[in-house]
Amino acid sequence: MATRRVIRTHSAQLTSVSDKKGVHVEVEDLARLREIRSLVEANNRSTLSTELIICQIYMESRFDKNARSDGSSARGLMQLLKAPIRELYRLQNLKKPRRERKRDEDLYREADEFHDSDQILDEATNIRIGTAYLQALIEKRTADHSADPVAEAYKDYRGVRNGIYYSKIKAAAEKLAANPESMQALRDMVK
Amino acid sequence: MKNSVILLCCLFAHAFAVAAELVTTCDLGGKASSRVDVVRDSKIADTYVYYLRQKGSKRPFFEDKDSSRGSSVQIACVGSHARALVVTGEFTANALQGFVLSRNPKNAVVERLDFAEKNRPAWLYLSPSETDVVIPTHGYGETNKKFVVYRHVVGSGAEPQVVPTDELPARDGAEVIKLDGDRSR
Repeated sequence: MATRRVIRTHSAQLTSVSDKKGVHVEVEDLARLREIRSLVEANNRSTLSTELIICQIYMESRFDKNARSDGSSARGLMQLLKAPIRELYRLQNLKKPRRERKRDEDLYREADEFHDSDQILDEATNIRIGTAYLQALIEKRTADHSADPVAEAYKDYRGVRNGIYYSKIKAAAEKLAANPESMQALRDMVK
Repeated sequence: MKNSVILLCCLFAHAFAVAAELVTTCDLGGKASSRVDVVRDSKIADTYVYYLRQKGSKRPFFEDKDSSRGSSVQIACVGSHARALVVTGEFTANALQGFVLSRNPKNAVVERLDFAEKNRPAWLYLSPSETDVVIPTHGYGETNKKFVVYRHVVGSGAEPQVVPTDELPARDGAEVIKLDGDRSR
């Protein structure tokens, strides 16, 4: 009688168990970082460094142009409220000859229409407006002979005067400049 | 004579038009001097310049009149034991700015806790020793944690502590007040 010869045995399950654990895809984050860097280099309207603005954008929206807040009018990559847009319109108006200036009422209406439009969600436009607003704040503090106009401008921008916002993005910007192809400085900043 | 009457009428009409409008009054408890009025004037579009009025003295919400021009301003007078005035709105910063006024039970001085975030505050913790404002982050801002707590220690003149956290603060005898967002002025 012939005996059955066992060629090979195994105990593995026939159907593999799927691994549902999330895997962080570094490549996509890095691609987005490069994209944001290009946008900032082309649209930064301030004297602030590219790295500082990148860190600010990450802090504001995590690079998500559709980020929304609860109860404020914040919109776009730099999460711009209505007030900064109104202020920029007001400053532009003041540069015109007196007889060509518009009434505040009309200016605010125009600024709000812009803020409510899809234009502000355009990433390049959002960066241009946000950085122009920062520059206006810096110039105001410079004119006031502030010892550190940038730090003071960020306090005005942030609405509280504890300095946490600027110190965090400044420290992260230095790390990002040293290692421009890594998201780590940005992630550490908001831990 | 007729012209003088018309001129007087115009002056009165103008005076009424620019007079500060009382928005709300909050009695923070204790003596009559703890009553705080919120008033506003100088309307442009949906914005006004906002002031606090206490003991007959009127001062802008923030540093000056320019920085106190706001829209979407929400004001609440809350608390069943101790009372507090809670204000949030869009003023000149790129964040919702707000503050809480409450009365120190030991010396009856009205103390102020300032905060600014992109979201409205969701809870207020009031106790004789501490005032906490809890604001959800929704994953954006200076921290990945769920909430930012602005903490004022009663009697302290220091800047409020800013504490990122995933958990709501412990009640610890405080009255916890849910703040809703439907009081725009």
